[in-house]
Amino acid sequence: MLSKKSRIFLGLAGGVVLAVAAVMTTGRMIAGSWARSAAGGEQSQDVPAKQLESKAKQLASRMKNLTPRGTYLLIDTAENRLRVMRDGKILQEAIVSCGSGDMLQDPSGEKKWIFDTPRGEFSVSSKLVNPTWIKPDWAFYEEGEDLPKNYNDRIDNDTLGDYALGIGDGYFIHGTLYTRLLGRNVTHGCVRVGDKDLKSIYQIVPMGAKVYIY
Amino acid sequence: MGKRASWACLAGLVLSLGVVLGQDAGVSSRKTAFLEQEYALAKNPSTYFVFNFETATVALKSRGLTLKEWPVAKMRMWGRAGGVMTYPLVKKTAYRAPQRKDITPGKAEEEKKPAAKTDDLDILELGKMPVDYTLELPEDIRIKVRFQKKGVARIIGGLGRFFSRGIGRSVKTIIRGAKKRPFTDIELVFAEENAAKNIYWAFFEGQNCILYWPE
Repeated sequence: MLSKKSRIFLGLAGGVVLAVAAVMTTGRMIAGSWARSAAGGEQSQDVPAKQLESKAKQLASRMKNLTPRGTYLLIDTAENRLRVMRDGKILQEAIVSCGSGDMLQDPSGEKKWIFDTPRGEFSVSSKLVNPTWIKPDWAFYEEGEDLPKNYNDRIDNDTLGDYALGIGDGYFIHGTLYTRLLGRNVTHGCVRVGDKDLKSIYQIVPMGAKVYIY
Repeated sequence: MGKRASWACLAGLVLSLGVVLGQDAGVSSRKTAFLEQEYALAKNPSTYFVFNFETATVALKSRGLTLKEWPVAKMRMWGRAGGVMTYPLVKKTAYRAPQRKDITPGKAEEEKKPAAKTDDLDILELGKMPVDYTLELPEDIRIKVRFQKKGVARIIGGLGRFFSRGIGRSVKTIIRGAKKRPFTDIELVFAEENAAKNIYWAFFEGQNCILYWPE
């Protein structure tokens, strides 16, 4: 025979199990009814099959017109990889460095920079040999320096490497002095590429080529 | 009578064959709706996500081009589900969300020091992205993403989910049911850690996604 305490305990435990089962079953039933009503609402559309088929074909062909043709670039900021593509096939793959995601504020606290590589669709708007970097304000603030009074103090002929491909808004695909950091997210938003890869990318990729950054 | 029956049988066969063929070759209204919604997104230069619950895949796309695709190992739906819908990401929440680092002027250029160890860099990288997080969409839609753990961690995680998602969600459903405010919970489990991390990395607030439920 069970003691009184044991019987109370078992009774309570059984009650809790039953209550939990009841709550879970009720919840499941309500969720099921929501799912059925969502599905029912959708089925109310009644369009002839032929009409649907022609619409789908039209949309598929319109979609095809949107996809890039010829040579284009894919830049994966998560994996730090750049791929030169032509008609869906990989022509070249390179390890690169993309934005660090760090933030910098100017001493007055008025301006803030976020060093992300921008994402979306861009196009090659310039192709430069021996590019010159005109150092922006953040480059001086970052090093704890005052802004230069002379414009020539902003000119830097060494940092960008031998070639640069502009993609707009001051962002470039360019060379690097810090090749040991290729494959890491360390840049201020530009895409850094090793010398060898950069040369062939410069040669293969034409002006106006689409660049997809994600 | 026998002749009539044979004709009826033949007519039935032809009809059913037509229906079967029609189903194979035809396009459903849902697929057309999907194409319509994807085309609307692909017209813009931004990237977008497609959560295809029929093929159990998540794809990152731009201009109709699949940039990356990840297979889903397991998925569960709760509440309203159905059709094809486009939504922007409202918020992503994680227990240990990665934070951006503020650069201290004058100390930023660690990389310029030749001896600096590349492992010590305090930067936002894929490896720091969470594997367990929630993507919040409008209309009370939540996509819970997690990585399939193994061993004891899996058992502990399962127990936790029994209380939070099993009991907790049921209570929430009853309350919301009484208030007539339905919601949708989707749980996506990835076998690869990097898949969950990549989605967290690539999916940003305001970016659009399409939810495509099985027919």
